[in-house]
Amino acid sequence: MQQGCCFDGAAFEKRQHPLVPFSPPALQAGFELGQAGVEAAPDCPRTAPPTIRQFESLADDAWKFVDKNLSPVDMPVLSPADLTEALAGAALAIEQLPPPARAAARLRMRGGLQITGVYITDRPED
Amino acid sequence: MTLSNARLPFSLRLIGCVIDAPLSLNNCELVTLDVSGSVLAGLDATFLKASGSVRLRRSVVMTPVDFGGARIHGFFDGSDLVIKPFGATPANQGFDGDRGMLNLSQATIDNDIRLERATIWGGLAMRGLKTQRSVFLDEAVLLSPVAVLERLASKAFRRAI
Repeated sequence: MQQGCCFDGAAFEKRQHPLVPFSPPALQAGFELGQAGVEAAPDCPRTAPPTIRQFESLADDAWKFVDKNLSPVDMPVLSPADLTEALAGAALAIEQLPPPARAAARLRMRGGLQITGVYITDRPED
Repeated sequence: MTLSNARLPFSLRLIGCVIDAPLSLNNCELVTLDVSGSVLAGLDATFLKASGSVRLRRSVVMTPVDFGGARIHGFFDGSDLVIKPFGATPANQGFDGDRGMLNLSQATIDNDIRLERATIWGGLAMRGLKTQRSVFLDEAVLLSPVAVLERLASKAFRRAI
């Protein structure tokens, strides 16, 4: 991401965190563009850069994002779209971090995201 | 499940899952990809960049698996992997018999390639593969596309008799 993603103000307030405020449509649009990068819209609201005090907690936020959106216990059947969005969200959350926190987040997530025994399908549950 | 061009600064492990949708990882960057013990409807990972390893142990894939041009810094572990042309090839992934059902052509794998006891119906392509270490194929069963056709023809011939 070169210019970041367009933030959704409503989602920002709901989630109560400046770095995980991505609305699904904006996230999906940004993800589909992939490595080509996303140019921020002119009227896109921007968040203030985090302070030093926030750095420590920022490293855990990507995990929280994943944990909140992907729980094999709660979601034994997972749709590919949800999984894709959660993965993209986690990656985007890390990329949005300032360099020191980004490095910490990458270190924190070195073990990766593991999903065990989940049926990933678009088919509706019986 | 399309993760093409995605940059995932972490590992993705889908262990023992059934993935009903083709998994597309073209040009994706991640640390380690581990789909061990999973059943996949398709896996297209051309030009994948993995700073860790790729693990497909005991996985079953229904369509061609393409790692053409992939760059893997760790292991490629496909022990007990089963690849058979059971499913329909995804629309965005053309089947080329010349690449076989498992395509590692032009890939660069820095560590071992382990395909012990793997069963690959439809050929294994390794043209231009670069690896720093060894390739293990102990007790692997590899059948080329021609061999698959020959077997089908043989069965049909026996039935006719």
